[in-house]
Parts: sequence; C-alpha cells; structure tokens
Amino acid sequence: MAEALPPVTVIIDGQEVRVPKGTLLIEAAKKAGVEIPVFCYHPKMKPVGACRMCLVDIQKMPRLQTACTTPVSEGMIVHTRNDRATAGQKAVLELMLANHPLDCPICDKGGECPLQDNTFKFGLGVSRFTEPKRKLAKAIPLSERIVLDRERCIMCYRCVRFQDEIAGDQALAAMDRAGTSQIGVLDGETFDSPFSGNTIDLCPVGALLSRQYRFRARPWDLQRTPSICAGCAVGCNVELHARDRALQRMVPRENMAINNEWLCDFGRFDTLPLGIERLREPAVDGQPTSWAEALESAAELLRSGPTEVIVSPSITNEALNAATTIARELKAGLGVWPATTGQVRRTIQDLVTSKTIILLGLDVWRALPVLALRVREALKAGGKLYFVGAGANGLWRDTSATFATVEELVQALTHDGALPQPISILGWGADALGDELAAEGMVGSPATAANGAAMTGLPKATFEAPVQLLVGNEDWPLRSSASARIQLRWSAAGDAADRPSIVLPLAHPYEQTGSLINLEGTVQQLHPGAAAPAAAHPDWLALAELAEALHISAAPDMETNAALA
Amino acid sequence: MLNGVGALLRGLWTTLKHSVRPAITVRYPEQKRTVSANFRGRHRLYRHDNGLERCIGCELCAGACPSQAILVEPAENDSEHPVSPGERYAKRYEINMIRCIFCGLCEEACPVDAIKLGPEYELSDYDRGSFVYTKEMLLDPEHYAPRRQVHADVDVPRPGYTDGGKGLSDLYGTYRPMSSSTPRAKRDEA
Repeated sequence: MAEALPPVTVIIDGQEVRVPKGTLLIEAAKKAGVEIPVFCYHPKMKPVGACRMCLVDIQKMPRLQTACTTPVSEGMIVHTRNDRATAGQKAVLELMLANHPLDCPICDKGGECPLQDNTFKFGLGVSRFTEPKRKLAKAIPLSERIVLDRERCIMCYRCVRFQDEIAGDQALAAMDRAGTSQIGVLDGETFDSPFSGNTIDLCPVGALLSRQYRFRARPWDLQRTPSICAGCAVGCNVELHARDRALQRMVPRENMAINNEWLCDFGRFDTLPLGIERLREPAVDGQPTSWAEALESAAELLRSGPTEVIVSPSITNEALNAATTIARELKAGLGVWPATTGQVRRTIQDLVTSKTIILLGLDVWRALPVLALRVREALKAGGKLYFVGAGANGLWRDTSATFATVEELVQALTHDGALPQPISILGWGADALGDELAAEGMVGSPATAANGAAMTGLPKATFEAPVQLLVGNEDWPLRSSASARIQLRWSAAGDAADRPSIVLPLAHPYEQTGSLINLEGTVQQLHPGAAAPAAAHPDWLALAELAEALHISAAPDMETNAALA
Repeated sequence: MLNGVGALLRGLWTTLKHSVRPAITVRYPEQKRTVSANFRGRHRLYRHDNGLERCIGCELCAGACPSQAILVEPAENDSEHPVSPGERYAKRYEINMIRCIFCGLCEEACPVDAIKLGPEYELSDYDRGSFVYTKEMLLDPEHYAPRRQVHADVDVPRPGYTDGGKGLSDLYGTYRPMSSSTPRAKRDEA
C-alpha cells in the first residue's frame, strides 16, 4: 500500500534518501544506511514507541522524536548522531539499566543481547545510579518451554505484541502499571501458545528464555548451519546451532516465500533429537552386530518371501528413490504410513495474498502451525476466513463463519454474489470446491509430514506381507506375529529387541544431507548441523547399501527423477 | 702497544671484579627463585568461604582465551544443593595446559574472581592427556600437583613437594590475591 504513495526526499545524517511517503523514519534510515538503536521496534509488527531508544533529532521539531513511530515527510532533515540525539539515547539507556540487573555472566542472552550491544555502541559506559536495583522473581517457568526473568524485562512489549498481532492468541499480557508493570500470563494459566518460542528470539534482553537451551552454550560456541525444519510439510527455513557437533537449539531463518521469520514450538523444540535415546548400532534379533552382517541378514530376509517396503512420509527424496528402486526390483509392495499425502495448486505466497480462505476441516493451527500464521497475514490484509466441519479449529478467533457442510458454505456465501478472489481452499475435497468457485489461490489438501508432498500417489501401507522393510522414524503399528521386520530408524524406541527383526541406525534429518519437498512443491536441501552417532548412516545411504547387498543398482533412474522434479 | 696492554688489563680487571661478587645464578632445580606476586603460572579456581565455587560457568574466560585452551560446560544449579551462588555453575571446566600461553586474560575476564594464575610453573608431564586440567584439579592444586619432575642429571627427591603436601602449600601460603575480606567478596556473598 505504501508503494502507491508518492516518494518523498528526506535527509538523514546528511544522506539523502527517497522513500514512499508514510514510510517510518527508522525504515528510511535503514535505507540510508544509518543505524538507529531499537528495542521495541520490529519490522514485522506495528510500532508502539514503548522503549524510546530510537530518539532522533528532527529539524523544526522542538523535542526528540521516536524514529519508529514517525512517518517521513518531504524535506525532513534528521540527525541521529548529533549531541541532542545522542544525549537522549544515552539517557534512555541509563534509565533502562537503572533497574536491569547486570547478571549478564549468568544470562543466556549474553553475547547475543541487543541491550548489551546497544549499551556498548550507544550507551554512557558508566552508571550514575547508586540506588539498589529492583528485586523481582527470577527464572519463573511460564510453561514447559519458556522461563521468564522479570528483573531483566525492559517492557518493550515485543512478546505481548507478537502473541497479539502475529499469533493472535494473546497468550501474554502486560500487567499492572508504570514502574510495577510486568509481563505475564493470566493467573492459573501457562504460556501454552504453539508459537511461544518466537518470543525468545524477539526478546531484546534475557527475560524470556528457552528452558531446553538454558545454560547449554554461549553464542560464540555455536556452529550455525542453515537447514530445513523436519517437523511438518511447511518446510520452515531454520538455522541449526550445535556445540562441538552436538545439536543445542534451532532458530528460524527468514524466507518470505515460506515461513516469514517464524517457527512453531513443535518444530523448534520437539523435532530436535535431544533427550531421546538413539539407536546406536545395527542389531539382528536384538544382538548388536556390524553393518555388513546386518545388511547381509536383511538382504537374505528380503529375498526370502513376499515383501512390503513401507516408508515414512518424512524420509528424504533420495531415500524414497532408493526405496522405490528396491521395491521395484524385489517386486515388493510399496506403501506409505502414516497417510499424509496431498497436493496443492499454487504456493504459500498465493495463500498470503488471498481475500477468501476456506478450511475444509483442516486445523492448520495444529497440523501446519506456521501456515496458520501465514493465513493470519492474509486476514490482516483484508481476507476472510471460513471453516467447514465440526472438528477443532485453532484459528477460531479469526474465523468469520463456521459451516457444517460445504453446501451450507456455498449457499450462504455465494448468496450475495461471488466471493472475493483470490480464493484459497485447504482440506479434503478442496479441489472440487476450488473448481466450483474458480479459486485462484492455494487449493488442495496439503501434506502434513515433512516430505509428504513427495509421497503423493503412493498407496497406504497394508502391513500384510510376511517381510516388511520399514524406512523412517515412525511409531509403526504393532505387527502380526507371522511377520519379520527390518527397521531403519534413528530413535531406539519401537519393537526392536524381542522378536525376529533387524534394526539399522539412521542419522537424524538434522545430521544428514538430503532434500525435502514442502507442501507447495518447493524442493529444499537439508544440511547436517551436527554429528550423527558413529554407526548411524543417512537414510539414503543406508538404503543404497541395502540395495547393494541385494545386488540392485540404486542409482537414481530418470523416471524417478522426473517424478520428483 | 701500550694501548693494547691497557685494554688487556681492563678486561682482566672486569673478570676479577665479577669473580668476587656474589653469584646471581640459581642452582635450579635444587634451588628455586621466589616468583613475583604478579607471576602467571598454573591456574587455580577459588571457592567462597562458605565452600561454594566462585565460578558461575559464564564462559567469559573461554571467550577471552586467545588460544582456546578453556572449555566450560555450564549447567543449572540445583537450588537445594547449589554448587555456586546463583542459577548457573560450571558442570565441566577444563584448561588445556599445552595450549595455554599464560597471558592471564581469563583472569581479566572473570567477573567473579574465580580464576587466578598462581605461582607454580613446573607443569611438565609425560603424556598429552594429563595436561588437560579438570575442575577438580584446578580447585585443589595442592592435591593435584603435577607428577614429580625428573631431571636427568639431578634426580634428587624433593620431599614434600610432589606428594601433594607441604611444599606446594608453602608455595601458595602467602599467595592469596583474592582476600575473602574484600568488600567485593562480601557483596558477592550477600
């Protein structure tokens, strides 16, 4: 919208810059290459001017102004580093530090803390306060995942605004007034938003911290590897942080086409292989053995009788290719479990720009959380959300109307004329309705598992063959006593030990390369962010070795490549 | 000619002069020089008077270390049985003495005066592994002294020094850079 306004010229620290009228001064300064310190301002959220850190001197204005709330106008001359402005910035920092405990050495934010950075860069260097600092409760667990330190909070409201504007569940609130104002949850509640982890990234001090990552490393200890979240089919772009090749945490990377810059708690905390017992060595009937021997036994077993190859919808494309080859050469059945497949037309970007979004029984809030945030972006831009079905709908706060059946929806909404385009329809039966409404947005039943979109067309596994090759880390259904199983997995769980079976240890998706296809069909690359257990192999390598033991060439064939492209 | 004789005599005079002065060489290792109070030798981790470790596991020493000789793995204190004051302590604290260049930046960086470089300098040992000093060794240097130094030509036993006892405590006896009665220490305790 701002692009449509005529451009104006402003001069910031002597730099002339042309930006659309109505642009915030802080964004104009960014364009001019001038850094203005901020705490509360965040480009993805509405400005509030709560922290006063971005004070600048604008000519012809009597007092310092906050750059984050001031729109530019023609001919504006701004000084960010003159005496008046720096005095204001120093005063704000001094007041902030009047009550901020200087416990940086035991604070997890230390080393990646905007308050530290701004104090070094824009602060006074010393404190003139001799009064005792405010004493408040430290390390209050807000939920299973988040811990709050009230002494450190500088009341920038970033977390409160995130939960209100971006997530929309208002899970956090600012309580009390003035000097006693605090961040918190309502009495008796916990901070149980599926997006609570984002507040850790947003917090400019060490007030909201991860309990999982608490006291595990310093920012300078971490090796950072860009990769892809293996939690669901959205395929959020992430950065894996490891210390000494051991995974410690995961943070989002911005990708406006996919996840904006958000990540859900499931992806952020639960997909990491932390606190999960790993499968460390191959075993035949519960007896640890070498890869060579285990592969030999597996090949023998696979050749012995009718076989079904069952893949998890979260294995990589390369592994799927090898599994397909093995199944074809063995003339075995190939199935996927759990069923998750689905295809959509068009992209997440088309969903974000939709004016009408219809969910056919699909609870995106729980199934594909970050996609729910993208749906909310569309709603904020004037879209309307309709839900069909009796099931749960995590986006109930934003739903304009809920209908029992598709017919009811069509009848009620098309009564006064056509629905505003583009229309996005997600859920079972979306294609038919999409054709009926001539939808121009994202239409289809999206896959939910990490690589589910690559499994489209694979039949559901039957688990009936006497020999079953199970690829991927799933809670496979209990088998009949007649069958023998070969499992490739990374966690030690599962019915590995007691009955005739072979288990082969895999690397976790965050410890291997490979590619995943997200729900809109984008192929993205996994990069190993940590070391796998010594005997664990990437899923595609394990299957290639198995193919070799079966004397099958697992080289990717053109047909499969074409199908995956 | 006469000039040459003069130079010869002057040289002899210098030699004679020094031959009657007291010797400044020390018969190391039988004799050891006392080191200065600022000497930067083997590291030592300190405790508070109440027995809690001063180290809070902040990793600033490891961050400051120019030779990456320090490894700190922090953990959260059990409030019932804290290892150090506050929320955080060092679960693992190791210094690789081969890497260390004894610059003292760890001491500079430490916000709680937990680590100091002591006066001890005989740190040789027989294998690389034993140069990695653990937290226990650093907290209790008298018990975990390096093994007895063997010198090929003067292999004389030095009782008291190597058997984890008196010698080293004598060495450390007067070396208490962090007096526990300083205002800083009192404030930390509070």
